[in-house]
Amino acid sequence: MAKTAIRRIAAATLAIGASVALVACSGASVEGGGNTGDEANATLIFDLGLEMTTLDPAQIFDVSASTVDQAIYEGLVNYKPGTDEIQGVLADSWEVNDDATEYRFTLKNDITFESGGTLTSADVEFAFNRLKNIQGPPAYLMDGLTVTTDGDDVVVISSEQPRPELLAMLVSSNFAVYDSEAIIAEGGLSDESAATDDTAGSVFTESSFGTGVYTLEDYEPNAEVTLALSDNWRGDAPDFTTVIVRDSRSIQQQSLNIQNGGSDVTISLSSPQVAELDESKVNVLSQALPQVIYLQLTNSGGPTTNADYRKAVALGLDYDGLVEIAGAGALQGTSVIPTAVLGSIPEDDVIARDVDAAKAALEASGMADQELVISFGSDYSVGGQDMGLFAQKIQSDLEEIGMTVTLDGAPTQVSRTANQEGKVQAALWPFPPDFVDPSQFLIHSPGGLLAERAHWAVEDNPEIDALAQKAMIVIDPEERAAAYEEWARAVRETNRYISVVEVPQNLVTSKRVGNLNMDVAGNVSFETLTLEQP
Amino acid sequence: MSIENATPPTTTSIPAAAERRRMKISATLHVVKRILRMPLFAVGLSIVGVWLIVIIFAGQIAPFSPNAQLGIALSPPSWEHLFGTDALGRDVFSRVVHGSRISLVYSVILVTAAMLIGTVIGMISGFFGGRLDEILMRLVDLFFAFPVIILAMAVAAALGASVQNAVLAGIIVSWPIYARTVRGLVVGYRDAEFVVSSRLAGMGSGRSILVDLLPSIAGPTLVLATQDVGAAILLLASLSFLGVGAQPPMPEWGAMISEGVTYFSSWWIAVFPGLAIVTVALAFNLLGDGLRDMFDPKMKRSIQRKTK
Amino acid sequence: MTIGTSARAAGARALRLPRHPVLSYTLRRLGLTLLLGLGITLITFTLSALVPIDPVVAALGERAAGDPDIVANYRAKHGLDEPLPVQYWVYLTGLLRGDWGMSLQTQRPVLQDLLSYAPATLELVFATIIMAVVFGVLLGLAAALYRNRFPDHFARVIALLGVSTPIFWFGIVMILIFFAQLGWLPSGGRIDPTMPKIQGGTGFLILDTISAGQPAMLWSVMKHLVLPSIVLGLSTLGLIIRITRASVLEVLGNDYVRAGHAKGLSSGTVVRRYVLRASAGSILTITGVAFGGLLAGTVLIETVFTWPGLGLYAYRSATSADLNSIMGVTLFVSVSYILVNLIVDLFYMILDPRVRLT
Repeated sequence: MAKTAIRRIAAATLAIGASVALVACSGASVEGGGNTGDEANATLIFDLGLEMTTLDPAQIFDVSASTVDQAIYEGLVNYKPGTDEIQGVLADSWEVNDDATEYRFTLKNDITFESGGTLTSADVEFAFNRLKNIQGPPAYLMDGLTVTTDGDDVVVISSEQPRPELLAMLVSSNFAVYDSEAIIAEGGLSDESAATDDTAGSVFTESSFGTGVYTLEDYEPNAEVTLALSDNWRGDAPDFTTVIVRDSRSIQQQSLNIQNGGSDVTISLSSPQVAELDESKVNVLSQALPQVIYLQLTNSGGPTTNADYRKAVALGLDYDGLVEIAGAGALQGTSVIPTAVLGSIPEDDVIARDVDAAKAALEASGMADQELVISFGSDYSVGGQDMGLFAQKIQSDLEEIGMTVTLDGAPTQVSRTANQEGKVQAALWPFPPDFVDPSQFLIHSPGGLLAERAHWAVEDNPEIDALAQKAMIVIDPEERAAAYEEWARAVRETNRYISVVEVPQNLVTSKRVGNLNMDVAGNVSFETLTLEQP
Repeated sequence: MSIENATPPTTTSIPAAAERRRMKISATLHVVKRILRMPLFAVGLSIVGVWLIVIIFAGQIAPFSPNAQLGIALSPPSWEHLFGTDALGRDVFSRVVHGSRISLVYSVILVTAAMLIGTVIGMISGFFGGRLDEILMRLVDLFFAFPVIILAMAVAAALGASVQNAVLAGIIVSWPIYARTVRGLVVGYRDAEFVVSSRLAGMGSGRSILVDLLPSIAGPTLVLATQDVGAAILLLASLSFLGVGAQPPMPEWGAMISEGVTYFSSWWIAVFPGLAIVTVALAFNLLGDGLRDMFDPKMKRSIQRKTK
Repeated sequence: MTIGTSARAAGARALRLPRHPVLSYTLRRLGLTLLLGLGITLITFTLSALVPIDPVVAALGERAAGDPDIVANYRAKHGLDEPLPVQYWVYLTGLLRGDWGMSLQTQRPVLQDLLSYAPATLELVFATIIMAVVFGVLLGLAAALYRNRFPDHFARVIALLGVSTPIFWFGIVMILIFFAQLGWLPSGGRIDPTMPKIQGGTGFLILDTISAGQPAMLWSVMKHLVLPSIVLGLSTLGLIIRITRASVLEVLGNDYVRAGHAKGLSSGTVVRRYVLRASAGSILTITGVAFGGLLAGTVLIETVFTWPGLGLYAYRSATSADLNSIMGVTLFVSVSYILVNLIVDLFYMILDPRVRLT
């Protein structure tokens, strides 16, 4: 008996010893001790699907990364929060020559970077050239542009062709300006060797080199990014001094969190989901997004090569039903240019469903017995709307007019790969623009990148290409809108892209958040959100 | 799932043919009596029976076509729509009913294929032994070490997301358990007198496997397979839930849950397919348990002791 | 496979040298683990190479993926322009040097990713195992001692439901009840996000919060663990209940236990001294086996509870053709499963010296 007791005591001692050792070894500590109630209140939790692979402004291309970079970095210009009006941020003023080939930006004085340096034109030049030469996803934005400096305060961006869209483009967070000296010290390069030798990309996830309101406090890929008020911020302190952008892929969890105090902001809920929320627990702002979900009918083979068949599809869709599924605030698309963007076809000028005409067109095509395969990303959603839902509705609509439709849903990247390789017959996608300007949608024009994947070449419709070339260089806003609208109509005539529906983005917040706002691109500026005391 | 390997019988005199037939009949009667004495087994059997009827008469039972969009989205359960309707206005009850044809049928296919492949490999491995046995069993170890869902997800992602490929993925992760079990049984029986004597009597190894071994290992393998159907249903549903299994508009239960979770107030979309999965998996587990109790000698002993 | 086997045979001959049986057994098993690891990388690599996703499409945006220069550059940078066998060889030799490659989705070395996500998953799995073993043994014991009475039926129902319920669905139902309706427990994540960040530490938040002396944070960590570990542990619980019940029933029938009763020892003592000790071996073994299932099950649970661990990482890697990551996570999970089972077997031998080494 004594022996057992001793053994037991020994075992217990060992166990306790081991745990103490483990805990001691962990060496964890907490910065600033415990948190007070006030501090917790000033924290904004933003539930968002984190897709980011980097925070380097020269390489980011997804919503989550640009959301974070918008808070840390500033560019020359930006939208006034909640509007589509462009205002200077780092630029104090700017001048454009008459043919829109030269933009001169005069920088504000005495702006400092968090990492120590003071803003000069050299920083802007470095950042923009690095964007061009590092050959990352957004490098194309710099195509045809030359950046030079004129003294410490003036940056000149020039081009051969007129670039009326330049200001709208500079809003994009890819044009964020950062401390060039600090980045050079980390191995950053802006000349042609950047593509292979730049080693600064990863430091952007370690600290911040910007001039923005917030600083990067913590970065955990796939989990969360924590932003805190920067000591360096020159303006008024925002109500929310800490912003946590937290990975959340589950729509259901986001709805539950926002109503039950688990989070403060989400932009991923669709209108029908928002309609289910308890109004007494949330604030909602709904706004059109500059993207349209369209059904692309390609030249890759099968019935979609036939114009009558495409017409039958266009006339066969139950647009009202599709809009109804998308819920409050949704609209039928009018063309590949979303209605919120300049140059779009007006909202009421849409294709209407005509079952008889669709059946007639189908018969005329002689392809009624062929199978239509629609590819889509089964895990892709826009404005909280599942692509699968629309695809199933479209299938049912088209079967009603006598077509045989098969849905080919696959994980987004699988679908995208097939699309890229030009193997897709019909595809259901939105096209989220990198910045809000009609020029972004020329990618759909014959010979454009997306059209090329659908085997739609310039030779097929040279007249449409001519319209596109013309629209690109018109400078006067009114004439520009007219030129783009003419192009959009010509594209619509071909029924190669059938605009289905535009879904709104719903900014949903907890009750303690006020002054909800989204700019025309759908970005929320954290620093303008207010803390409301219930 | 069963860990204890069945031990080979120790008595091995070869009974005469007539004697054998008589024994078979009395054994069958015995089994029927035993079933009646095990209420849980009977419950499992009835649930499976009900689902079988649903599968066969799905078209008659379901009031609507599973993909018909009826124009009333997200309506809660009512007399007209027993399980409510989903976001596209489809009748959830009809979808659950038709879903049985996918979830249940594909699970049974999965398990059957895995069982056949595993049994063949296990028999070869156990009967021939030696180097071949060594290689095959290391292969089995290899598949055992793989995390099931991750491997299945990788297979399904590699082959393309569809319910057929999900089944293939399921087979790839499920066959090793049968191979290992069957090999264990065969090794146990290989040197048993009744096998040795028939081989001495000039029976070839192929015939010997068929005549002597197959009947002896069929029981335990079927028990394992029955229990495995439940697991297979869960696996297929999980893959659909992760987006690498059945694709819309297929009324697969896992895919329905995954669609339903985005409408949390419309609880009926996700809850009913979930309950369907639970009842089916439960039923097969009950069946499997019952069968195991019948076949497992240890359990038999404890039952006998109890009745003594 | 033939090369592998002969190499193994040679290895086995070499490993026959140590005389100590436990040691030689361990070495042999470790050698086998290496071989299995090789097989696992080969299979995973083949599968990942088959995935119809061009990693370039996944990693670059729409426009960049259409620019041949950028694409060529990216492929060269990540070694994707080499033929597949060369890529595999590069990967293998890298592994030996401790280089698990770069992850495309996090732009960090895969090993760093694994080490930073593993604690989250392991903490969840350990919490699950502890819960499942404690409740499983108690329920199984009760079921055996009160056979065919209420505790037995209850345990049986729990065990059956445990292996018949889809855990992703159960997780969602639990969130609806305990978070949305009752508001007792959080819906996901590892700790209240508004709490201060822990600096340094092991990544095991329970240890870290204790070490940092933060009871409020420890409480938050515990609350976040409750739902995911219950849901994840459901099937393991069922398994442990069954095994405990079966082995206790068997032990109860043994002569020495009857002798213990006959000696006049109280039931409690008999259970403690004989029954649980004798059943410990099989419970331990089944826990080891369950460990692998739990690690794999985290793919579902972490998706439902947005738990930032290996499961979520595996899911994202598989759906974005992140080759190095999916290889890394599979290898990591499989090898830890093999090693855990080796340790369990060794423990088992120590517990019960009668077990022969096979």
